[in-house]
Amino acid sequence: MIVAVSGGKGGVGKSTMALNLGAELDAVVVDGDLAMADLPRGRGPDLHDVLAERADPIEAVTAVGTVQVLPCGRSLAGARAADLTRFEDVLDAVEREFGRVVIDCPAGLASDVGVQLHASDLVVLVTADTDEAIADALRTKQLALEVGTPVGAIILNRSDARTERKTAIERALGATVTAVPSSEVVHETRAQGVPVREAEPDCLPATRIERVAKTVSRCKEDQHSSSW
Amino acid sequence: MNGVFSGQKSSYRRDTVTTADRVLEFICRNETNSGMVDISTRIDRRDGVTFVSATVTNDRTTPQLVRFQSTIEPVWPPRRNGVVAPEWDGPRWEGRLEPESKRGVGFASPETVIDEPLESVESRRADGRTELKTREVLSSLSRSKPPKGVLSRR
Repeated sequence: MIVAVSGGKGGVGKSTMALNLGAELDAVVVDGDLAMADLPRGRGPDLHDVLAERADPIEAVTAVGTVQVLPCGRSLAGARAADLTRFEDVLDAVEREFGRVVIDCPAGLASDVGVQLHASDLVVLVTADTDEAIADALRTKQLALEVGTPVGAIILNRSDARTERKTAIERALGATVTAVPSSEVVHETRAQGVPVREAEPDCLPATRIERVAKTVSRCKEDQHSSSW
Repeated sequence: MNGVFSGQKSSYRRDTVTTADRVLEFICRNETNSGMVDISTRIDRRDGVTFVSATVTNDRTTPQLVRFQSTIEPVWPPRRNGVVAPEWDGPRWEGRLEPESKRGVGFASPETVIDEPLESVESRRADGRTELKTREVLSSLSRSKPPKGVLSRR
């Protein structure tokens, strides 16, 4: 299963949610932001090396705390040398080896996002509760549908929206909305590069992310059963 | 963004060519073997480069998968967003035509044309679904580039 965590707008918490969702799903988290990598990284080869055919995708996966990560390089030269046509093969190789993959997609709607959405089985949209962010999430959804990837779940980040508001967003974006409230523990764990559930497994953000993970797993099962 | 993947058109612009530039131009029409797909070709040669532009028409009520081969080599295929148009693979062009639709096919070459520049290899009924390839996604969307601030921040 390959899950893309996307949403169009920058700064809505995509990377944080991707890392946490990856921990919850026991997946490899791939840092797909080739120009502005965000996830913690080790010292080994990274996605730039993999996409430039200088390293094997499996070798580039490294454990950061309890989460397996395929980190991305920080250099613009590396981003430029990356061959996006290889992305799908790289993701397939990681999926074959590790089973589940979560991609932390970059902001925007350019070809890097398109290729990542195209290679995924489903998309989790992350958005803030502002009109601007929701409009961007809607554009990302349209792009996902154009490349043939359904939206599995929506995370309304840093929000404690009430039911009516969530229903309105659900109607606009066409998938189950889960609100993840703003919290000190999310900020702290983000700074340390560890998932929330490691610090406080029973806190509200952790249980909400767990709920999203369940929704995503269920979507995948439905996809399987409907293809038979 | 709506419909970026539907009705893709090949991108040779002819309106920039003036009459004086045209050393050679003729319009030919040939029915392909199966008679399912019709192609009309036009050739412009200027500054030592041959530009071939063709319109492929599918009159059928079913979608058709069409293959052409260039009779001249090398083929310089068109690029979109820095990526070779996904229909081209060396001298071969393969594309899907929706029922009762037209598509443009074009390429350039340093060679001069003697015969038909494009010959039909195959044309058959296409499946109901289109499978999108990575290269098609890449060529349909703009290239990603880092935001302006990123250089000064590092």
